[in-house]
Amino acid sequence: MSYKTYRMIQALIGVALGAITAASIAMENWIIPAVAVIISLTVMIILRRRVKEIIADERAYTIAEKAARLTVQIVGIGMTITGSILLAISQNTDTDMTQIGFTLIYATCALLVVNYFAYYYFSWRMGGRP
Amino acid sequence: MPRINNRIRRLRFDHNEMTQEELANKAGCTRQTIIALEQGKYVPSIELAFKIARALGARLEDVFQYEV
Repeated sequence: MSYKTYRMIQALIGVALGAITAASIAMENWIIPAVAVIISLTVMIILRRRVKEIIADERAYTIAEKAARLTVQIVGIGMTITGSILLAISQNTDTDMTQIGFTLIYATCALLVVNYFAYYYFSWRMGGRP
Repeated sequence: MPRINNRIRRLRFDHNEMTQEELANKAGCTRQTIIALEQGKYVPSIELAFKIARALGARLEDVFQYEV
């Protein structure tokens, strides 16, 4: 199978999944979308294995790494600044703003903790000392 | 500033006008990577450099040159 065909099928499955999920929400049924997601994921994995062309190589991974690093920096700094501003403005009087502020700050902490452990894991996997 | 240059484009044409797609398939990378390499926008890993050199039937130092 060519990569082009794979992308077309991927798009079709995405559209079908969206339609099924929307219809299921309208019907208040959560089993159908869950089954649909599992089936579509399985189909995508099988189809991906049948693609003969090279989908991703080292350059794609390098780009993904750089993009991930930049995303962590932007999201981390952005959420910290926004959270701090919200907490400073609210002065613990506006409950909604305080909650949003704390949520952003704690989400940043979670992001940094995950990033820290991921860094140490890959550092250990690649044989070097952190 | 140290820089790694390559002669991929020249060697491709010397090699029976091999297309970027053919070289990519032989080296196990995408055509976009070959384009980026020829434009000097990307420096490959040692492994990919060896694969490209092998695909072009040349030695590593004939394909890639390190300039200080």
